[in-house]
Amino acid sequence: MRPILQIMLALISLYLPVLSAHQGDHSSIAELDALLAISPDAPSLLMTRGAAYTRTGQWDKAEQDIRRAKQIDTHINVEFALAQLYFHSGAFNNALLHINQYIEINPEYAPALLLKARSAHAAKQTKLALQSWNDYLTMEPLAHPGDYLAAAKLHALTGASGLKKALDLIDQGIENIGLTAQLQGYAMQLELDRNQPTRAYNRWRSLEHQLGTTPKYKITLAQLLILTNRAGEARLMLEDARAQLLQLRKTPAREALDLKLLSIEKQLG
Amino acid sequence: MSKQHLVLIVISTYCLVASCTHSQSIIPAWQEQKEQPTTETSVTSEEPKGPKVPNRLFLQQVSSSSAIIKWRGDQNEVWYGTKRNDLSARKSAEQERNHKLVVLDDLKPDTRYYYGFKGNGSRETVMSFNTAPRKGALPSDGNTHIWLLGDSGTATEKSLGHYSHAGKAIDVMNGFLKYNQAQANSEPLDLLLLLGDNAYVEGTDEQWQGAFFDIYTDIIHSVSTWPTIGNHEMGVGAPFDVCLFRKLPACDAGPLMIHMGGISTSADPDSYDSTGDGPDAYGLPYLNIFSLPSRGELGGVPSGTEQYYAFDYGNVHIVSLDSQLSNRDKDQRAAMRDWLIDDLSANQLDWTIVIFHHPPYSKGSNHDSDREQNEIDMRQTFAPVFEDYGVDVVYSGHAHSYERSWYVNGHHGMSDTFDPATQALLNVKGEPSMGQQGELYPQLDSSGADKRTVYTVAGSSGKADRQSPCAEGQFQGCTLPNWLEHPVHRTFDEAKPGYRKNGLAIKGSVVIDAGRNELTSRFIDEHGDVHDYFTIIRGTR
Ligand SMILES: [Fe+2]
Repeated sequence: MRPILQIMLALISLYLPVLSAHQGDHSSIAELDALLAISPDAPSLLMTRGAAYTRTGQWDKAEQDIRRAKQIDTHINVEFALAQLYFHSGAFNNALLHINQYIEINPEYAPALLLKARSAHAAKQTKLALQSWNDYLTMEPLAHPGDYLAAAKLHALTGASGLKKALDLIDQGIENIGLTAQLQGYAMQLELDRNQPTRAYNRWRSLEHQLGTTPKYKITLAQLLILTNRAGEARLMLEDARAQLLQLRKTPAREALDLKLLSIEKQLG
Repeated sequence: MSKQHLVLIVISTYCLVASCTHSQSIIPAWQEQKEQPTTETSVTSEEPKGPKVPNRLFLQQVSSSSAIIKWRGDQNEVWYGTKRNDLSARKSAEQERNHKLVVLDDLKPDTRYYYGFKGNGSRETVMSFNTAPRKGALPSDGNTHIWLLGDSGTATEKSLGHYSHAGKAIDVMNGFLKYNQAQANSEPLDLLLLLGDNAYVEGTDEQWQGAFFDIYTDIIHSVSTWPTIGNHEMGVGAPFDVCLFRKLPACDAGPLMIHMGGISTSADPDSYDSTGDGPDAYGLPYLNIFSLPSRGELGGVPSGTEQYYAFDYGNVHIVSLDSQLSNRDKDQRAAMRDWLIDDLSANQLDWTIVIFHHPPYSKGSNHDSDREQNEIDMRQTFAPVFEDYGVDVVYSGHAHSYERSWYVNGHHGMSDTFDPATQALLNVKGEPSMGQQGELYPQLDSSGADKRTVYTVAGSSGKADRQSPCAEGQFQGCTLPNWLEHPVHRTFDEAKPGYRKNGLAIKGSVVIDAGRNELTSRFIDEHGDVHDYFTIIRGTR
């Protein structure tokens, strides 16, 4: 074996115990520091370290590395990396500036559209954010339920027409990713916000086959029955929920439901 | 130290941290694996394997009335039936991107079904599986028998062009098989749960083949696999060629690409990048490979995403959370939490098991739940839900060791805030109870409420981390003095090899047995020996 290989293997065996497949970002940075000490002008190393700095919240250092990589090799597209950096550091308008530049060159990259929506949202540029959410959700109809909810919640902040748009978006989400209690539950709240308790009731009822056997579902349904002037049915529903709570294995959540049930019954008188 | 030495350390560091591969094609992992240790038993198909079994064949979503058979190969139809020698029913395959699948429906609960691929001439290989019992019922053998694998995907992990953990996953599998034959009456498995990082280093389709399909081949023909997303399922950061920096002997064979696998921080599966040259065309391989129930297909409340899901199997409710992607974005995390609350509220089965990759409590050699944000978020956001909504046991991986908590409630801060007197169940001596022998864990506390949970870290199914003490002033890339000393975890006898104060640096896997009145979880090493167990019993103490 060549001496250099022997040394290498000896060194590897020293490191073997801890250098298993994944390390924290801090150790990546330490290793990148060492490599950069030898090759200070390697753009790929600078970009990698910049990303690691971003993940560990060292914004200034991240920016320095990314910008230096660009100086060395002007062909590198650093816009997405910069946008991520600014988004995570809270400089949302700066993030927008760079993500826009990135999207100009890569208009079909869904994660960039998502980052634009989140940046505009966080920058409180509501109109732009709504447009960006729309662009993203059009490109990615099977988006995460959390993304549909984030976009719908933003719509809902924009007045009465916004509530309608939020509901339309939720319905679009339900069509694309299926009926879920998160989307429909939020839509139910929105219907209440726009003073449509019957619609709210109907939306909640659509979840019956998913949640119908639970006291939580029944107690919410009882509240909606009260709002739609069906106090008698609400009482029956509460009794049903109480009987079920007595039978089910007790958990802190079910104990809390019990208290909620009591307070609704008090309201009913 | 000379610059030359430094670069060698750094490069070897990288090649061990990440995977260094030549850019030419990767040799399939199984070709380089060491010989399988001889064991008295193994799970096999009903007959010797013939040419007609696809090299990627696995079961998904086996319920009490249906099952998905999924494969990659020329075969276009599946024959099946309830008698081994009479596969008279036939179903044609649907093509789903790069897999074929059939959905068998109208099946009978808790029944053995046989299936195979008929071809021209030669003897058929017949495989079989059991359908799930009806919701709430026990399997006919009286017990739901579950195998869990954390961070098992090391067969495809490379260092300096060589497979650095060859054979270890197979050893762990054989340990389980030996245990199962000797101590569990060869009970057939009902479920296989994966805790993430099951295909190192980037979670490519090819790595899934080498680290999973080529290893657990016969087991996954007969039992449904239920995964969760680990960091190594999510590709790489930027790669680079180390030969640009140093002419190593290995560089003669071409560029030595370093892939920083496992460090993606994206919350978006579409940003999956296997090589560092930009996002892959088809997104996250994990989501392409597995067919997961986002619409409540097997019980459980629909999640609307395959990234997290829940299902029922007989008397057990199982939840797979996404600590890698959804957990990184506040809106997605909130949606996952709200879904979890709805799902757990609707669950009335005997036992609730939750799996996800990033451990809420761990002092692993390279992962510390006081320092890593994913772990902190899982603890702060989800642990209170587990405890309030009746989750019995939680399993994670990520740290390549075994740690198992006391029976706890209310510890959601950093490790130094753990107070066993108020946050763990105590035995008659006033010490945290071990959950063994005379002090089994009651599912309900003295007030009759189900509010305690056992958290297990079982990420050593492909390798076990060992100790490498930190030099003075070094805090990263080495083992901190409190390695495997998280106080929320049970204590061990440190005199034994591989035993640390609160954990085990030993390769192995976990087996859960969930009966009507007892749930027992065991940690089994590669020799089939049990190093830890605990039992939860229904009702109060
Ligand atoms: Fe991991």
